[in-house]
Amino acid sequence: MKTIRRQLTRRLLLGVSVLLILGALVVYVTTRTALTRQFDDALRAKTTALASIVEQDKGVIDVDGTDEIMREFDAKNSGSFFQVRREDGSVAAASPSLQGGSLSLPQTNFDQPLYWNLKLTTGLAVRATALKFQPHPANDANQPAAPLQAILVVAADRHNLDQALTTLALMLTGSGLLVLFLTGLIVPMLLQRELAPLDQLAVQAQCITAESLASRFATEGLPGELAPISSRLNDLLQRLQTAFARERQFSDDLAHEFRTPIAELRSLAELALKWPQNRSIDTDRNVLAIALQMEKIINRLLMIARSDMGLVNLEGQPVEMKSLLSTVCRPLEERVAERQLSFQISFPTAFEIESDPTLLRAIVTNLLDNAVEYSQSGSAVEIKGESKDGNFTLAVTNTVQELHAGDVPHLFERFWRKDASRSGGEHAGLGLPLARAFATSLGYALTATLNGEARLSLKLSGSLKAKFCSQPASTTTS
Amino acid sequence: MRVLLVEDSARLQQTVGDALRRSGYAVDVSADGEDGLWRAENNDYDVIVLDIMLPKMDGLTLLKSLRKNGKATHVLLLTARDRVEDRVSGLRSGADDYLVKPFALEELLARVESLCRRAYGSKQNLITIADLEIDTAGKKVWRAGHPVKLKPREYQLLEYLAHRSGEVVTQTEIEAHLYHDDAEPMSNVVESALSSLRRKLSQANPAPLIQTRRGLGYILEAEAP
Repeated sequence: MKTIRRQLTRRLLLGVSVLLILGALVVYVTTRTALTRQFDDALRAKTTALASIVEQDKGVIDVDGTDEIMREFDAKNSGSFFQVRREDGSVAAASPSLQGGSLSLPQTNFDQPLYWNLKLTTGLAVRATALKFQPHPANDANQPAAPLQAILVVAADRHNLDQALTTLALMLTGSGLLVLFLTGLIVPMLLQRELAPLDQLAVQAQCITAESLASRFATEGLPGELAPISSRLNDLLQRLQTAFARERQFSDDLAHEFRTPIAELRSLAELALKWPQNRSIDTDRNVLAIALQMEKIINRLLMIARSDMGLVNLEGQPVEMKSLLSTVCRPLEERVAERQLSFQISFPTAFEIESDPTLLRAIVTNLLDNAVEYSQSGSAVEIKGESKDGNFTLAVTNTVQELHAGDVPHLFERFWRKDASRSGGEHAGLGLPLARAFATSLGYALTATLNGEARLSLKLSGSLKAKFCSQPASTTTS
Repeated sequence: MRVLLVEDSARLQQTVGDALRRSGYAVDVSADGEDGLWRAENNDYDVIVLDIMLPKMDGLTLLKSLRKNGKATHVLLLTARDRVEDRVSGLRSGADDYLVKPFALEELLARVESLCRRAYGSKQNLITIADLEIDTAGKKVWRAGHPVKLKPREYQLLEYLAHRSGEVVTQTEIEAHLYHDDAEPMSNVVESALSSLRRKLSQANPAPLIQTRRGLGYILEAEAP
């Protein structure tokens, strides 16, 4: 498995290796150049000094063997060698240390100082240089008419130089390997220590379950790179907790919504069984009413779920709003009269919307049903329609009692009811959620506002033209 | 025994109320918390069956107010909330028992009966006074080993007097415990029930069990030999 720790260790080791190799190469090359230059300078100085004791006399080139300098070249194992060659390449003189050997010359005119490595016949590795010069006359007074040119080749044993360079190379390689080894040991330990907060984060995340969504990741003392991750995870947990709480609330509400009718059914049945002689027709009427009430809740929940999942079939066609409104108002007339309400309708002369008539009617029905149910007795329900710039609004406004601004955001929550006791079996708190789910399916917005005069306004707004794709009818929507 | 049922569901008011009445209890019904609290504070109930989620005032607030005002009436909470924390909260608010909807009617009746017994400090279903035996679970009575057939109201009167055996019980107390608020007992209805009860109890053994204390009330006790 790929881990940050392994990746970092591998890459750090690779990086350190490359740096070490490059560093060692630079050190080795620089040192070798410096040592070689030093060796060459010494060799050159020796050559210049030796050239000063080479003489010519009457066409003969010779070396003053009595000079102090010659002592270095006399010994058999001195490690210093020279050879004086004439212009034609023939040997004019050679150091005794050469023991009859020769110092080979490269093909060049020796205008520039030249250094090269060679091996003597004895197998000794030496470094040599050559100097083209004019030997001075043996007698200063007797200047030769045609002075001779000579090439002085001087060589020195390079064993010490090679050994020093080899030692340097070995030291560099050894210390490089040691550094690599230590890096390989230390880096994982450091990574382990520095990445510990990441491990803790992982352990904490592993411990989070649906029951512990209230827990939060620590953000204090975390490295700068992890603190934002921890904060984002906390945000995610908050959202999850809210979603879970909403679902639990929904389950609770659903359970409660069904517990009471089931309790009613059960007690009706048990009462009838325990005292059968007292069973009345009201028992059956009540059982039927409870069954219808539960059926209504189930149907509405199914419709909301289908709408949320986009499974509602939509068919766009022109809907004349005045006609739709009168269809919706008709069944409400009895309750409107009973509660002494009045409808104040204000629609444009031509008010037509391209929409799905079934869903639009369901939305308007729920809005008006809500207004009739919760309006203050004797008040007016205002229904106002407008169309402008290709859009429409339909607002249903009514006077409400005991509704506060804080309640408005809950109006579209499933099963929400102002009265926490959830009294009364007719309403389960699903009408407005269903209306909003349908509005969303149609691409409309359904909003609620409450003004200071306790007037609640539910506003449906959207495009006059259908913005949804019509689908062939295959399942029912109501 | 007199029970107050505080429940907002009209159907449960009807069915539970009916079941309690048929089991021999005098039942008053309240549909909201405020009315329930008023009734509980102004009447002497043996048991209150209380829903938690009520209009106007929730059941737990009602219960706390009741306890704060020193009312120790036994309370059975009846609710759709079934979580442990809900039960704990209900019991800590002063409830004596907790029943989750949906419930078995028989269980509700058994729990109400149990709370009634506790109201009179009894742990048994069988009350024995001299040769009188009363099975409060089966609502049956025996005198000197012979079964005594009583009407519901007579049985309620006998059980109430038996629970307070040895104490003088006033006519007002009897009316408060045996008749619900909506009933207006005639002035002689208690005396009439007592007379009928005495007659039925004396069939197996003529020794009187229920004595009248002039100007005070009635007492059920075994006559001193």
